[in-house]
Amino acid sequence: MDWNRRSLLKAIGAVGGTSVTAGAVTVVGQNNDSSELQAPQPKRDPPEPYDRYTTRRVPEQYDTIQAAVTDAESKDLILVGPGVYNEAVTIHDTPKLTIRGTDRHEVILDGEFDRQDGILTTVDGVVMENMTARHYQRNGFFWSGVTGWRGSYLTAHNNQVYGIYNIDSQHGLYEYCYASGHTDGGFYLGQCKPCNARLEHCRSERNGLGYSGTNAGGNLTITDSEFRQNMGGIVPNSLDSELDPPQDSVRIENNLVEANNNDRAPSYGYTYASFGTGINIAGGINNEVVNNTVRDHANFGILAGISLDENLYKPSGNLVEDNVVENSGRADLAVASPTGGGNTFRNNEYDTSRPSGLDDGMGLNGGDPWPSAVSLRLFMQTENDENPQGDWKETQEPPFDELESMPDPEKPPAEAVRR
Amino acid sequence: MATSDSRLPLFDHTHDIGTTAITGIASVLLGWYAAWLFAGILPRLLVFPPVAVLVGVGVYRQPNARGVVASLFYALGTLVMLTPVAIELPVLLAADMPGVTSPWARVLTMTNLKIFLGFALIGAILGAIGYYMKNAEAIKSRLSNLR
Repeated sequence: MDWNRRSLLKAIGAVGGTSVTAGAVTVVGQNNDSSELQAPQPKRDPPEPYDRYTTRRVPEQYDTIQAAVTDAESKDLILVGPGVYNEAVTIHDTPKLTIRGTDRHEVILDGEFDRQDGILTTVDGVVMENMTARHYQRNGFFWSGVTGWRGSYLTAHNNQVYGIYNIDSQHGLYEYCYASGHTDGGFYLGQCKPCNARLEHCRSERNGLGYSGTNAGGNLTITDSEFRQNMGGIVPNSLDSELDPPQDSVRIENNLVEANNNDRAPSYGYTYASFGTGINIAGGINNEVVNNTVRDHANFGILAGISLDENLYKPSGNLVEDNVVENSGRADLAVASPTGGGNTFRNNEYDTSRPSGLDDGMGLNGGDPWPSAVSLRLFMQTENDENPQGDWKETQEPPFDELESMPDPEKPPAEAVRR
Repeated sequence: MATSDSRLPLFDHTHDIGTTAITGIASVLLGWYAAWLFAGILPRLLVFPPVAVLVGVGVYRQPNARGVVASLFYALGTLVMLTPVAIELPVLLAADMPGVTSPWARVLTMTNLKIFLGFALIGAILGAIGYYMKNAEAIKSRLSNLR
């Protein structure tokens, strides 16, 4: 095992980043950290349909989705019929394009365990709807550096890294999506501040993490969704591997988070450090965790933990309120030490906490080193290749009959989100 | 200095104020440490009182101040040795949770063995310090006989 100081430091964080040399550790997340961000992104009005557009049908008019994309103009609808499409689609030149399947389960993009991403876009306003992406070496659906984005009624399963992935983007929505069988996050939002985005009515199962959000926050709401049987549940986190840490201001509200102890889920090494934890705020600040049901976790139900990368990120200013947390192996509620302070736990239904009295007004919320010790042990096991992990290629397929398709797939395309 | 005319139950002697204070404070601290250690398994209020009382009684029964301090080292060493056990026990106790299929495989690892040995070494050192404090004269005598 090749230990260095940084490895030891990063061990206590929830997830890993890129490797760098050891250096001075700066402490971030103090009580006096101020933020101009608001956590919740309110629900927006429905997106406005486009008036003028062309419908381009695959396979009737085009053999491949990529051929339709190449021909398309802004605001067009690419309507894809049932079939297995062995391609990796990229959209780099045509903003406000809509790619929509006519049937969520029968329109399948298949990477055949060889191609990189199902659909990758780097232009604004692209909407992906009502289809499935599987067996890609990287991500199922991928937006990068865009303003305006939406994924609706998408299924991503058995892709190697992320299911539905979004980085450095703003103003968007994941809705009625499903992800399973990924080594990192089933859903991911990274490096946006503010994100101006919502994740709602989604389901994430049997992934390394149900949701991962590195340095993502500000007008960002994760709500009305289910995260179960992942290795770790919902994990907003601060890391130096992406721009603009720390993670700041996400609202996690009204979700069902259960049994994220899956030791047969596929896992990218460091995701194992969040094993058995329902909601892990890893070095995040000013987050709101409200009205969730969190149960059956081997380690912690809701944890405000630290994240150590090149800098040490301490949780501070987080609000954990009105949650029902039960049947956690180590503690229902926990704050890891060291903490930046200002973490408020109130009106939660729970049985155990670390430190004790976290929610009873005694003010004993200074943090407990025990959660950090638990994470350190998990990290050390990862470093020695002792972490259990399933094969992303072999993970159980989604329960297709439980996933609803988009109503009226022939309807006109619409903008990504109303702004 | 212990006396032979104790009026306390359980004890046939009384220690001076300093030793008594050390016993009391250390018992509370070790009880707190044990409660913290096993908080993931048992309610703190079920662990703290018995550990604090057991440590207090066991330590106070020592005939002299050296014995008191030595016993505290023994108690601390024992708790240190139990630390990795306290970390691992919840893994096994969570064996029936959904999704958990191989708890023993996650416990019986080389990493955990190293952690266990590390804590065992620290505990053994604390025990050795206690043993030396309690038997310093005899040890010195044996060492001088060897020369």
